[in-house]
Amino acid sequence: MKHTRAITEQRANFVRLTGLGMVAVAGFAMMTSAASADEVADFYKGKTITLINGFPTGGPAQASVNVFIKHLANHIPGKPKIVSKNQPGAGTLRAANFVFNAADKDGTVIGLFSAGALLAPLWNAKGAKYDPRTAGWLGSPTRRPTAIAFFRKDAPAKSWAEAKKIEMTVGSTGAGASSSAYARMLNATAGTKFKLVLGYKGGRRLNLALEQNEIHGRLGYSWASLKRREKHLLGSGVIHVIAQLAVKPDPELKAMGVPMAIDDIKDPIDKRIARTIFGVEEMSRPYAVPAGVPAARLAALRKAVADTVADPAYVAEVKAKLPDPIALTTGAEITKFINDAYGMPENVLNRARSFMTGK
Amino acid sequence: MDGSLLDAALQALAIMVEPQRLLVLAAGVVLGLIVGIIPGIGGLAGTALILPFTFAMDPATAFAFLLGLGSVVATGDPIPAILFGVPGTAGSAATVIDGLPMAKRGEAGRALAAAYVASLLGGVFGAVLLGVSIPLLRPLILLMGSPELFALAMFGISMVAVLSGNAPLRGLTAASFGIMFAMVGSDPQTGTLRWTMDFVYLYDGLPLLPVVLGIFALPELADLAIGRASIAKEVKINALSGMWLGTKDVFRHWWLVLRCSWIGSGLGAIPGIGSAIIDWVAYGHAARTEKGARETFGKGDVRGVIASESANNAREGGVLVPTIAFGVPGSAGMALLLSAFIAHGLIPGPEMLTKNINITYSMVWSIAMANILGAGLCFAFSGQLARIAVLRYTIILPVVLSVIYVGAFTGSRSWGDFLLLLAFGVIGWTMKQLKWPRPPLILGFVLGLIIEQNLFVSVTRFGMDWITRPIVMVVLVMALIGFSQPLLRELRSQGGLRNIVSQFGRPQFFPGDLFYLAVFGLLGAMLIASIDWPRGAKMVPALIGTGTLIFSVLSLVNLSCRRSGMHGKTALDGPIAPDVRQSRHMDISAGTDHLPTRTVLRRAVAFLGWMLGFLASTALIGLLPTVPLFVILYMRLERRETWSLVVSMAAGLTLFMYVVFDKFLALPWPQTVLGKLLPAMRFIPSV
Repeated sequence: MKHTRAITEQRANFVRLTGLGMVAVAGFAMMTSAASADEVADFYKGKTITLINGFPTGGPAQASVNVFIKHLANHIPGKPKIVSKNQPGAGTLRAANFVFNAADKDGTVIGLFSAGALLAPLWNAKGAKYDPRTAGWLGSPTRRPTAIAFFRKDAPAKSWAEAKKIEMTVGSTGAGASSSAYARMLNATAGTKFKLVLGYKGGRRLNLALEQNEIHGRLGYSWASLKRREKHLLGSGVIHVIAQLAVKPDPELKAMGVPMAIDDIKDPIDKRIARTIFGVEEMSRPYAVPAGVPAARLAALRKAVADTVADPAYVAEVKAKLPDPIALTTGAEITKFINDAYGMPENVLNRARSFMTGK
Repeated sequence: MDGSLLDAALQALAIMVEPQRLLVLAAGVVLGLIVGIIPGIGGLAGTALILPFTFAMDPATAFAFLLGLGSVVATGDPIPAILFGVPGTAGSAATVIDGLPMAKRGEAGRALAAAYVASLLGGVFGAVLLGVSIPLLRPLILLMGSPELFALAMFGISMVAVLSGNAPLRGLTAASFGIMFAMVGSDPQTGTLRWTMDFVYLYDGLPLLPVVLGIFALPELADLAIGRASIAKEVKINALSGMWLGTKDVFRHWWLVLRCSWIGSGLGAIPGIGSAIIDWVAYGHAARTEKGARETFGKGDVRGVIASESANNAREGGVLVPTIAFGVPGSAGMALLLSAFIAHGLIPGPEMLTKNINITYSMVWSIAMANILGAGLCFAFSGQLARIAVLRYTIILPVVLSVIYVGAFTGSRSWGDFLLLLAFGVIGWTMKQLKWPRPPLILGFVLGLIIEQNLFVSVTRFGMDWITRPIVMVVLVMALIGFSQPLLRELRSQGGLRNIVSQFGRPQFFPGDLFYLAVFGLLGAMLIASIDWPRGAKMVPALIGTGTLIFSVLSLVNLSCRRSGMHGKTALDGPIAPDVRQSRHMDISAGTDHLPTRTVLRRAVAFLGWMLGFLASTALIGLLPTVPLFVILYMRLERRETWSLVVSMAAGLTLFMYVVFDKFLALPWPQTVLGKLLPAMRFIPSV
């Protein structure tokens, strides 16, 4: 809700600032967009858009996707049908390869990927065979809530400051997972002494390992999920949050006095890397079409994603059914983020890659 | 169980017996039976299908629907396992080993009835165990850390010894290969892409379904095509007496049922142990402990079916445990159930055992009732179903093959699934013909990664201290006994090591030994590819690979040097040690021995041709248009079936596949040449 209010306020400001002089321009813009909307509506009318969903059938993303595309269809001119087809594999890279290289480029195929797919080719991830800069990013309807570092209270280090002096084990699914990247980056740039224990199968298994005192803590779980799912561990004082792993602080965590890990990264180059590595995960689950989709259709799809997120019916359904926080990252914002990351000089990039891949 | 828990259980029962809930449960059960019979849909996709419908229901009803479906998937799947040798889900592969030979003997009705009664009892026992152990669930699971999981996986792998029957060296070779196959994909320790040959498809590892269907299902179908007959020549026993016999079998072996259900729900309850091996562990347990099992298992012993099926259905009660108590899904289907938790505002964890205990108990009741209902339904039809076994191969093959193709494709929805199915089909058929035991391969495949990852976690976290943890020590000792006992017994039965060596003569080689060459070649290629990997990535593969090399070389030496003076039956295999030829082969034997080797090979190549043709046509015109084409061509060319039969089969099957896989499961069909060249043709589904 907060976000919708922000949008309304922004709109009000915009109108006030621009004043009457802009009305003529706006009118003209509306006429052209109406003309192209007709074209787009004609195209999509009676058609079916295939959503290539990179996540596994019925996985945690499924319910959100189902709700989103149901409403999205109403906001695309011509009201096409949207069918979701799951094509999981290699952390959504398989779906990305397919959508960006092999799928139809007429706007009838949309892809849904993990945030990791945004920069996978930049990190030289094997198997990422596409250029995210040329893709038509439509936006991401959910923003990942602030990531955190949380540990057992009986772990050797009791605070973020102590984590820089005493070694603690952190669990992760594998060397390529974002939590492993966080550990490597923080050890190299913020002076922490995390020791990675790799090979756990999934986030819930990691939380169980933490409860079993097999690992001291985890890096990169979301604050919202922790509050919801591990209420008993938080409430009984078994665990505590020692740092925020994000670019911007979360108000609630800030009020609790939980420090920002990024504040301890002093080197400007490292800071830029951290902003990219922390920042990318906040994009959550972005939608995209391949390069080459006609501009009018791309614009219409982007607008449809934004309109859906602002649609009270959608907001109400998400609130009733899903734990997802609604917050739009627009397609333009995603493209800018990708271009910024690609703009890193080679030496910076190599350092970032070493954090991401551990090589 | 104290009074308050009993109250909660009874309250939950009162909720469950409301007619509307029972109706929803029954609907779930019927759906579950259907998806269990069709290989490839399985409980996972079935649950995914009905999940959206449950959001509007109250929690008890929603979980009745979901668990109704989930609990009986394993009940439905003995039908294809026993009748065609096609495991309906990965969890019923062990049922094939004794179920299919029974069907071939004309005892399909008895096997099915036994499977259902065992399923029913197993499912109910599993639920009961879950119900009474609720207060202990969380503390027990908290004891199961990575070292304990490693030990349990080792215990699982120790079953290889007994599942290898009289060919322990071949069994060990197969199991080690299974472990190596499990390591294909991205390695968690270093991120190294092991043996992926740059195929993105292989990054996540080999999917289980195409492998299992390839190893167990395709060889049976190939032999059916080669034998050119029906599975069974006649139905020996009528429907009613089959049901009666099967029921009697189960009750006579009630103690086995009880043990295997405990194995099923116990192992199911431990998060991180592949639920796909539960049937094998139970089967292996039965093979080791039941009287005379060494002589009769693998040849249609009803106890094999009972062991596998009772464990299989008890599992569902078990896997619910970590799901509700910790939110760690015990199986893929349970991962879906978790999303239903979220939708109903339920949080897995201690609350489910205190505040929401009613809901937990309603789940337990759902599982128990679903098992009774599902197995009851199947039992009632088992006599009728058994008749399928006498159908001609030209009727069965096109249907089952088409469904298997799509079934494998649901593995990861990629072309790779088809190729993997075919590759493992060739491996499985060759193993079956040459009497290499196949179960160890699957056991190694399912447990390989679990062993490696938990070993790494244990060592990184605890050094070597973890070895002394009590559970770890006990389980590892059990694994050692379970591993060495059958091997030593086998050695003794062959007259001890000295006697075996004394039989050694000049090595003799036969065409079937070429398979060893393939084994050495593949092994060599895999080991060479691993040389440049970082230490963490190659440690286990190098260790296992070296072991495989030793086992396979010893096996070849043993085989070739003991041939002199012995007379074998098959031309492919040459004379072999008498025990290998005769008994205690823990796998189905080929059943094509009556045909000359040349005929077998010619027909096998023809069958492979059909399979490849199916794929080529799928690439050209799409999978769904290929189905009727295949049905018509196969039925007409192989055995001039009447046109009316051919057309109605083709139409019916195509319609069925279209509705299930295109409409309901929304499979992303592979792109086709036709669709690329003539986009206008894409109005045809799957083009």
